[in-house]
Order: sequence, then structure tokens, then C-alpha cells
Amino acid sequence: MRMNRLAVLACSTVLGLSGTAALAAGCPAVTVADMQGLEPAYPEQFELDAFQAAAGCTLGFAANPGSAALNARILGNPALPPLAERLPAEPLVVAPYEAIGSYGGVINGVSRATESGTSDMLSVRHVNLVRYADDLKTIVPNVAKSWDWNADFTQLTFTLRKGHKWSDGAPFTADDIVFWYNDLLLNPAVTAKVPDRWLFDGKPATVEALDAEHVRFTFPTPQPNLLNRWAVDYGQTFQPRHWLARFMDKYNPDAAALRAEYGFATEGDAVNFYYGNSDWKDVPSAMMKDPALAARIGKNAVPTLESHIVVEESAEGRRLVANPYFHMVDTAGNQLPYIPEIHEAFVPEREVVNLRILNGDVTWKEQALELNDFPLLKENEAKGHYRAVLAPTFGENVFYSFNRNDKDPVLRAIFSDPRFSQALSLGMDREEIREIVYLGQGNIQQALPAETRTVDFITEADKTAFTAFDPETANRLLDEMGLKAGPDGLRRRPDGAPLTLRLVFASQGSPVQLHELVRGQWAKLGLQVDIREVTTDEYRASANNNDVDVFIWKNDGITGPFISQDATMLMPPFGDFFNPGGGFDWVKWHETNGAEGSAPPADIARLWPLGAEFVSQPLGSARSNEIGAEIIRIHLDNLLKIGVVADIPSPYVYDARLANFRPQTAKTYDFYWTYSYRPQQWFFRD
Amino acid sequence: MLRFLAGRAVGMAVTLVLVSVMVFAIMELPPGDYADRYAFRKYSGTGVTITEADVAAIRHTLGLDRPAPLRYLDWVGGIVLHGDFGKAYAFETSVNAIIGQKVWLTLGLLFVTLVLTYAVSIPIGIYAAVRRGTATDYGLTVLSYLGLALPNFLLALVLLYFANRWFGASVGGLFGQAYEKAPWSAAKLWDLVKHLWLPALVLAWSAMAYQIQTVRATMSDELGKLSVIAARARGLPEMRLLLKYPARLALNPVVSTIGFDVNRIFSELPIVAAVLGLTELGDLLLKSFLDLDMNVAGAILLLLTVVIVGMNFVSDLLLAWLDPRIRLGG
Amino acid sequence: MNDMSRLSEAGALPATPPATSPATPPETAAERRARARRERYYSAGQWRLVWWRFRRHRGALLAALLLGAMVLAGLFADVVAPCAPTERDRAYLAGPPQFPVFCDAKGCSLRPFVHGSRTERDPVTLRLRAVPDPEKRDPVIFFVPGPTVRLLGAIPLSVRLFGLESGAPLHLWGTDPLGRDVFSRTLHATRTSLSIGVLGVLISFTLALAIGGIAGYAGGLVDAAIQRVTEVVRVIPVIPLYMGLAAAMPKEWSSTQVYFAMTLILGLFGWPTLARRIRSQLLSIRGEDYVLAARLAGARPARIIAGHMLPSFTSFIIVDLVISFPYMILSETALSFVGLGLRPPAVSWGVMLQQAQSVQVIEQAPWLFIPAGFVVLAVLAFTLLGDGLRDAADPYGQNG
Repeated sequence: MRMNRLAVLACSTVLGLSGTAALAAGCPAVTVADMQGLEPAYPEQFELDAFQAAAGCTLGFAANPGSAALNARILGNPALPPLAERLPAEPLVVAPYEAIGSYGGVINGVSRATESGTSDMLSVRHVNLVRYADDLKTIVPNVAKSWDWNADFTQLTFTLRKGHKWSDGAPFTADDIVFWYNDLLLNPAVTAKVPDRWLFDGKPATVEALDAEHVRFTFPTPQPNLLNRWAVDYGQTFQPRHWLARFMDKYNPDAAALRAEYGFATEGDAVNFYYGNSDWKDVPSAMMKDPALAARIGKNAVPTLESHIVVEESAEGRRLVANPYFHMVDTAGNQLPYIPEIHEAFVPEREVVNLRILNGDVTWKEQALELNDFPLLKENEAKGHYRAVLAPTFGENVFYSFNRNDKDPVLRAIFSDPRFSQALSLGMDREEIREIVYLGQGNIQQALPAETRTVDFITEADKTAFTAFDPETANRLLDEMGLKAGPDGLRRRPDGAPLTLRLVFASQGSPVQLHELVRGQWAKLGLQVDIREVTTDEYRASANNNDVDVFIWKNDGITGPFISQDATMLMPPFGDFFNPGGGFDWVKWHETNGAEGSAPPADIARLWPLGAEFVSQPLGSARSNEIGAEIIRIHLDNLLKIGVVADIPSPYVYDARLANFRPQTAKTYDFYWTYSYRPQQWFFRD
Repeated sequence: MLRFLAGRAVGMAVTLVLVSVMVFAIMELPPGDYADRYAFRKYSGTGVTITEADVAAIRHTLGLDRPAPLRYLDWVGGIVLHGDFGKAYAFETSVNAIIGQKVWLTLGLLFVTLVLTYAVSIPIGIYAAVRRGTATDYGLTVLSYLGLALPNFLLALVLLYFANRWFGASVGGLFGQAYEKAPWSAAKLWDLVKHLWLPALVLAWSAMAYQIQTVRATMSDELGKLSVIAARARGLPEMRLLLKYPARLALNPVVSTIGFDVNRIFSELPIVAAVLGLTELGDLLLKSFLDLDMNVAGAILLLLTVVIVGMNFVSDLLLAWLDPRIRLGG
Repeated sequence: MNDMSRLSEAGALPATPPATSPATPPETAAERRARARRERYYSAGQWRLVWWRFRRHRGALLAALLLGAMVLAGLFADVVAPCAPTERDRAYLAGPPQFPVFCDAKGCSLRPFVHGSRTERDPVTLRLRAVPDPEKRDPVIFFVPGPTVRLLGAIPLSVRLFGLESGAPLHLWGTDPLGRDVFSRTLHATRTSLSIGVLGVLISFTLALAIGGIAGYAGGLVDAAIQRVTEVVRVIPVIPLYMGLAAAMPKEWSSTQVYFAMTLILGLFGWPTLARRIRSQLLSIRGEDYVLAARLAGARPARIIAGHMLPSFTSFIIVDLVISFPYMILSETALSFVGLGLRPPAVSWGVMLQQAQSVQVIEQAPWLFIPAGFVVLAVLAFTLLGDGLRDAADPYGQNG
């Protein structure tokens, strides 16, 4: 299987787009390890013309010899045209980390089920218009060849690759992006409610195709940080118009007949059979919903630009094969990905996942592996022929946030007093927690709405506010609040009942052991604490319903690139449906201009305008830092969330034979797991 | 005999109706419904603010806002009239499509477990009865009770661990990767067996304990009977003697409990399946139940109880055929 | 549904060994003693007979002793256990069991001792390992002082059965990753789990008595209706049923309320087997003369059932009760396992085993499985005890 230079040469003579074999032979097999003096405009990758100009050669192209067989597994794909017709005229040239790879193998992964713990596997095949390089600082081209802002950051123009094609061979053009925004997102028949994140100051952007390769977004307000979203986001901001528009009357005069033929009641039903009603791409595929219908219509899943496409999906798992039209090649001209297949097994039980890893059955896994698993994984590394490595996480700090809009008016009053949160923060022995729960790793830190290493406006004092273990001060604060202890040592609420805290949590958001420790530590302050573990869904349901006394999850979505374009975490409700942070009555008050809900304290009300201004300033600018610092101050003054330990490392595992694998600088959803580390150029060492 | 049959059939029908009500009631027990789940499945992370009205709209679309009796009638009506178990919300498809293949796998697993249980417990029970009071008898008793006493989930994990670490047995699922989608063949069957033995063993072990003791006790009683003593006096070889009378009669109580054996095995299946990472009905039941995807959970429960009621009916018939006294008394 | 009692229904429990054949003259001294024994036997009351027969069942006797010990250990857990169930030893996290020994490399001592020990984290794998200090001997002593506890909820005591001279707790069965003493927790769990069994059995027994009593006494249509309901309850797999009920429990319930709710749930669905048994017994004696006499005398049905009919098969009921225990205990562990059972700080066998449920524990802290041994022992003991009681209670038993 291994494709050596000679084979590449042979292929390129046959398939070469232009030029001669002699010139092709001159193209150096550049790797990140040995750049051979070349200096790409963006880290670790080139545009084709720039590469050829710099190296003084013409690149020939070669594909996986098994491409035709893989293509045959994609339902509805026509027979494979020659590689030259599959690659864009301007493919993205990727410098592999160590070596030019060879084709073959399967990436074996595990996840819990569709839409559950799958995003690290999704990230392996993920593409978007742009990408963060593995320094997590530089945004580099991907599907888009380049981009261009106007002076006040209200117009963003992307340049696409000439000749780029969908996984079924149909051309990918600017129209597919316009279609996604105007005909899916803004179309109430398809998307019942436009996601707020794609509205700007409540208004939609204008998206227009200038020509086949140019698409322009015009925003109602300046969005200097919005490019980040295309670099870290799970969503696919382009959808195959050629496939989905057939069900729409606007595009197809026969659409009604087509829908009737396949039994779709509405346009929305038909489109969503493939599109799945959401930007989140891991919705059940058409073949999962109704394999017979999908086969009759002619495609198992919606065409993609990603490196792999789903060809089989069931409740057991799914299989993917390489996209034969993928737009990346290595510096020797070999079309990527090297590893042509992915098999993702749905394994609901964590211990079975662990056993599979121990057994060496898993090529790659990071999501849902916890620090607690590390000793087991590390000790069995050699036997299972894999590597277990710890990587830093970004901002993952478990928080306890007392519900200041609690449905119980007595608790609401108590929780609204910042002294209560301060006391409970001081009553927490974080050193003990760090040692026991986090295996002695991580740094003690207060919960902050921004990740400290990716923004510039957080001080040391912010990080350590109220994190010292100081039960005396804690007790004094509680006494001052009038929460006096009864004869049994339990503090009483103003209405005379014992002050009981109900901690309802899901182990996906925070470890059980942590709550057991905290229960004991807070009991010493004279509080009665009941803890109850529920499923993730149950937690989210009750938290979003404002039925919890304490919001308990871990901070996420707070890295600089994230908050700079999406201020959800900075202002009430301090999170989203996944990770609610409370303040629902305040939100209602804000949304109804004071007609409903309840008014927040003045400083918290300021968070809305501050958040809006924060996203309108380029991240890292003086004004951005000024606003950031003020937001942090308001959060700390109110101590909205009590944090525990931050910068906790977390394990990931990979097959020891995996080559071109670079240790991850961070393990985080915020940069979409592996997206920055270019899984397309992974290959198996023999 | 006909009257007996008719009586039993009517009884079964009444039971089935009651069971369907009961299953529906269980589906209604947990607070909340799938509308909330659906809301944040679809909108979480997209920045959409969901209001109560939105959730109510979803509830209406899913038909979850109608009164319970109506939904019950719809549900049962769909099943009885069209064989349609309704929509599987989480998978966005029909329950039939989700359950389809798994029904056979699960029934297969139950069947294998039952066969394993009987294949082991009947001979051992007879043997223990013959060797009553010896060390072998006590040893077998303790061993079989051990299966009963060890919590099933623990047994599953420990066996899984050792099977995996010592023998390299594959873990999780009912098929190896190569065979998941392959058409049925001898190799695929063998692959299934390789995956099936562990769950079947775990599930069968506790069922064995009851049956071994049942067979042993009945057999002991029968061995003391005059007919056996007489036959022994006639000089009948011991083996033939055992098989001719007592062993056959000792099967009666075994036959009479087939339906409940299925129930017991399935009752433990969700937990064992969860530990072993099996994706069959037991596990699906657990998942969809926690997920409030109640059509799926209800369909599985109903199918299973129907199987159990049916098995009870069959075992009644078998018993009546084996023992005329029951027929007359029934 | 109640499998244990079904076992007895099917007549499955091992009978006692065959009796020796009656003696024949001439009478020796030994035979005279035997005859005296027989005479005593014939004149003894029913319960005395039961006790005599039971005594001979060595397995059952052993089981009874074992259960007695467990009950005592549970009742006196507060002083027998060196630590409180939620107390943590920060110096000994996930530490292996400490075996008191008499000898080490430096020689022997008359008093048992353990070596000083603490746990440390491996810098590479981050695993906790015990680091013994062979230089330091820490003798085991008895009746050490400890924080005041209220024994049986009443008697204040400030003493623990055993401890180490240094004042550190002795971790006989090691500690869990939070540094909690497994031995102490197991004893406290024993109390919880056994009490759940008792309460659950009592509830299901009361229900069975009422339902089976009505069915058996009334017969006819009432009986037929009740029979149907019983069958339905027996046909539904228990785990989903429990899950449904547990999910319906209000979230704001405290762990005590959950505890009682759980026993109630277990009890509520344990009755069908016993009810069936009571019914069939009642049906069979419904036509007996003494029942008829009572009825003619104008006694109310409840009185007839409780006063006249039930006593005729009390012994069987006791056996069924005993045999239902293990079932309750296993159900509790299963429920706790699916996360629907008790919540911390309550500790039961099921809760402890749920925490042990991982590959990591099997490989790196197998001592956390010790509570499983208790479950096995308790279930075996209850079953054996049931066997013995059954044989002893059977008036036609052969071992006179």
C-alpha cells in the first residue's frame, strides 16, 4: 500500500494536470519536520500556485488506488472520473508533520450514540471555510481560499476554490453558501426559529454570491471577531443546493410532485429528511431515519465537503469512507485523507469503552475520557499498543452557581446576597479537591467567564478571588447574613426551616466525587446538603426549567476566539441550553423591556450592553480588554459562579502506529477537538 | 380440552389488555415528556432562546399534548390495526425501524439463555438429586446459589474483564466489525456465538440456580416413590430407570415456569446489556426510558410482555398435555 | 416475580437427609435413650419440634448465626467500625487493606501491628500507591476512644472497638479513592441494606396477606379478577417498572425520603407470589369443618382468615418471608446500580458496589469489591436458612 516517491511519479505522469514528469519530479516532499527552506504564507500549508512557485516545480497528483471501490459504497455517486476532474483546480497543499503517508487502514472510534459524545469523531472529518492552525492563534484557509474584510468589519468576502466539488461530484459554488443562509436558516419552513447566533443585533446578515467563487456577507453591525466562528464552529455554513433545492418550489417547478412521490407532507419535511433541521451536522442521517426511503430517493446522506462521508449508519454505529472529491493534497500531490475509512462504534458503557481502548481496538479517542481514567489507561499503554497522553483543557472549571432567580423566594433572597456565594467559596477546601478529585493536577482558580490564557484582561487577583480555604471568614459571613445555626448545628433560613442545598448534577458535567467532597465541606459550615446524580438530559431539562437551586456544570465556550464573537457566557443567562447558568427572570425582564420577569442588580444589567460592545471590538484591542476587565469585575463582585480547579489536564489516546500525529496543545471543544491537528494527514506506520 | 383451551385463551386476552394499560402507565410515570428533550436537541448551542410556547408547539407537533386515554387508544390502535408502534423521537424514525432487527437478536439471546439454562440445570439437578447429601451435591448447590447471589451487573463486568484480558475476547456488541452488516453465513453465526456466550452465561447463571434446585427437589421426591423402588427391584438399569419415570415428572415444574423464566432473564437484561455494551432491546429500553423516548420503551416492554404471556399460555398447554389432572381442574 | 418464593412454591428446596429406620428390640441402653427421645418428641409442642428439626440442619444453623452476626454488626456499626461512613483519611486514599501481623523482618511481637503507611501518587501514571514504612510499627489496640456516637440512636458512647495506638484508623479492608474506610462503610451499609430487606418484606407480606386472603376466602369472580391482576404484575419486567417509579419520585426528596420510597417500591411489587401461595392454601382449607364452624358462628371474614385459617400454615409463610429477603437485597443493589437507588450520604451494599463498578477498580483497587462478598453471604445465608426452616416446619418431614 505504501506509496513511495516513484509510484507518485508514475501516477503523476498519467494523471498530471499539466507540465512534464521532469518538472513534477522536482517538487520536494516538504514536511513540517523538514520544510526544505520553504516559507508558507500560513503555517504548514500552501496554496498550489504559491507552492509551485516557491519550489519551482509542477505538482502531479495521485489518488488512493482504492478510490473507485470506496466511491462505489457511496449510494448515488456516479462512477469515478479521473482525479484531475475531482480535485479543485486549486487544491489546498498540506505539509504533513513527519512524512508523506501511505493509503490504508481504518480509524476506529467509539462514541455513545448519534448526537451523543460524537463530536471528537466528527472533528476528524470536519472542514469549514477556515481553520485554526495548531498554534491555536493563526486562522488559515481551508474550504475558502482566502477572505477579505472591509475597513469597519461589516463586510466579509470569501474566495472559494475554483472547481471545488461536493462528495457526489456536483460543483460547490458560492450559491451553496447563499442557499444555506437564505433558504435554510432564514426559511421558516425549514428552520422554525433563526438561531440568534446568525442574527446580528437581532437582524440577519445579507449573503450574496458575487460569482461562483466569491460570496459576501454584509452585517448590520461590525463583527471584527466573526471569522473565528468559521474557524472553530461545528456548523457547516454551506449546503448542497443541487440536492436540497429539488424539494423546494422556489427552485424546482416539479418539487410538489417529487415530494408527493416520496410521501413528504411539506417542503420542510422533505428538506429536513436530509438537512436534519439544524446546523448541528450530527443529526440522524436519512438512512438512519428511513433506509428504504433514502434508497428510493437515491442518497443515504446529504453530500459533504468533509474528508469522509457516512455510508452506513445504524444504532450499532456508522462507517465512513473517504470523500473522493476532497480538496486537500499532500506536498507530493497525493489526495488526502490517507486513511480512507472511519468506523465509529456506538458503545454506551464507559467501562466497555475503557476495555476496548485497553485492548487496542480504538485508534483515536479524546471526548469523554476523564482524568480519572488516566492511571488505568497509562498503565496499560504498552500492552494495548496505544499512547495515553494528557493535554491541557481550556477553561474547564466546574462551577456552582446559586440560582438568584430561584422559584423559592426565601432561597432567592439568600442566594442573591453575594456574601453567600463568597462564604461558600471560602468554605471550599480546593487543595483537598485538587488532590483527590483531580489527581493533584490543575490550578486552583475562581470561575471566570473567560479562559485566562486566550485573553489578556484577567489578573492574578481575579483568578484567586475567594479561593483561599477560610472557614472562619465563611462562617462569619453567613452569621452576618443572619443565617444563625439552630441547636442541631444546622443554619436556619429566615423562615425557620433548616437551610438545605439541593445539588442536582450530571456526571457528564462534573465528577461525583467532587460533590461528595463539597457536601462534606459545606456541611461543616452548618449547611445541609443533599446531592443527587441525574442523567445529563434530566439535569438540562430541570436547569432550563429553572427547577434547580444550584447550577452545576463546567465552564465551556469561554476561550477568547469563542467569546469574541458569541457573548452568551458573559451575560445572563450565562450559558446556553447545553450549559445553562441561571438568571432566567433577568433574561425575561431584558427581553420584554421590563414588562415581565424581574430586574437584575444594576451592574448585572450592564452586562448586556457590555457584551454587545465586546463582540464589536477586535479581540485583544485596548477597548476590548477594557470591556473584558469590566465584565470580569462584575462577575466577581457578584461571584455569579463559584469555581474549583481550572487548567485540568485530560487524557486522550491514539494508536501507537498512527503517524503524522502531533501531541495536542489543548483538548477542547472550543477549537473543535482535532480540527486544528489535521487528521487528514494521519496514516498508519507499518 | 376445547373448553380448557378457550378458557385459557380468553384469560390470556384479558391479561394482554391489562398489560398494555400497565405498560402505558409505566410510560407515563416519569415527569416531563420528549418535547423538552427535542427542544434542546435541536436548539442547544445554536443560541436560540426557547420559550414555553416553543416547547408547547413542539409538544403539539409530536402529539404529546393530547389527553392520556386518547394517546393510549391511538397507541394500542396503531399496534393492533397496523402493527405500527409509533414514532421513535430520538432517532427521528419509526419505532418499527429501530426495533426491527433487534427483536430477533434479543429473542435469540433470550432463547440461547433459556436453552443454556435448561441444558445445564436439568442434568445437574438430576445428578444432584441422585447424589443427594454428598459433597458434590452441596458443592453444586453453593455454586448455583452463587450465580443467584452475585449481583448480575457485577458478574457481567468481572467476567467481561477477565474474558477480555485473559482470552482477548472481543467486548461490546453482538457482532464483530466484519460481520455487522454481512449477510448471514456460518462465519457470521460463529462470530455471534463468540459474542453471545458471555451475556448468555451471565443471564443464565442466576436462572440456573432456581432450576437446578427445582429439578433436584422434584427429582428427590420422585426417587422416593414406590414406582421407582419397584422398578429398581425389577432390576432395571439405573440410567434407564431414572429417565423412564422420575426425570420426566421432574420436568413439570420446569415447564410450568418457562414464561416467568423469560421474564426474569429479560428483567436482568437491561442492566447486563448496559454493562456489556450490547446494543439490543434491553439496552435500548434503558436508554429510551431515560431519554423519555417513550414509544420505543413502551414498544419493547409490550413486545416482551406479550412474549411472556404467550409463553405462559404455551406452558399451560404443555402442562395440560403432560398432566391430564390440570386439564380437568383448569 | 418473587423468584425465591417461587422456588419454594415449586417444592424446590432441598429436603433433609433420610432418617434412620426405626429401632427394633432387644432394647439396649442406647436404645432406651432413643426411646426416651422419641417419647419426648411425641409429647413436644409444635414450635419445639420445629426447633429440634431445625437444629439438625447444620447449614441452616450456620446461616442463622451468620445472619445474626450481620445484624449485630449492622446494629452496632457505630462502635464496631473504626470510622464514620463519610469520614475521610486524607493520608490514605485508595489504600489497600492493612493486615495486622505479629512478625516482620525485624522480629516478632506479642501484639498485632501494622506498618505505618500512606498513599502517594505515581508521577507518571498518577496512580495512588501505598508506601509502607517498615520502620514504623503501629500496634492494634482495642476499645480506643473516638468521637461520641449514639448507639442504636440512644446510648451515647465515645469508644470504638479497635484502632491503632497512634490514633490513626486501622483500614482493615482498605479505603476508597476518597479515603473512606471500606470496612466501616460496609458495616453501615449492612444496616441499611438489611433494613431495606426487612421493611420491603414486611410491606409485601402485608399486601400479600390482604390480597391473597381476599382472593382465597372469597373465591369465585373476586378471585378470578385478583388472579388476573396478579398475573399482570408478575408479567411486567421489574427493572423498567422500578425505573418508572423511581423516576416519578420528586427531585426534592431527601435521601431519607428516598430510602423509604425505595423500600415501599420494592415492597409494592414483591407481593404476587406470596399472595398466590396464601390464596391457594386458603382455597384448599376453605371447605374444612372448622372454617365452616367459625362462619356459622358468625365470625367476620377478616377474623376467620386471621384467627382460624392462617395459623394452619404459619410455618410456610415464615419460610416464604425468609426466602424473600435475598430478592429484596438484590433488587436494592440493582436499583442503586442504575442510579435510581439511595443517594449519598446514605450507604448501602448497592451504593458501594455501584462505585466499584469499573475496570479501574478491578485492576487497581479490587478491595472495593468486598461488599459483594457480603451480598453473596447474605443471600446464601437467607436461602439456606429458608431451606432449614422449611424442612423443620414440615410436619411430615422425615427427620423426626
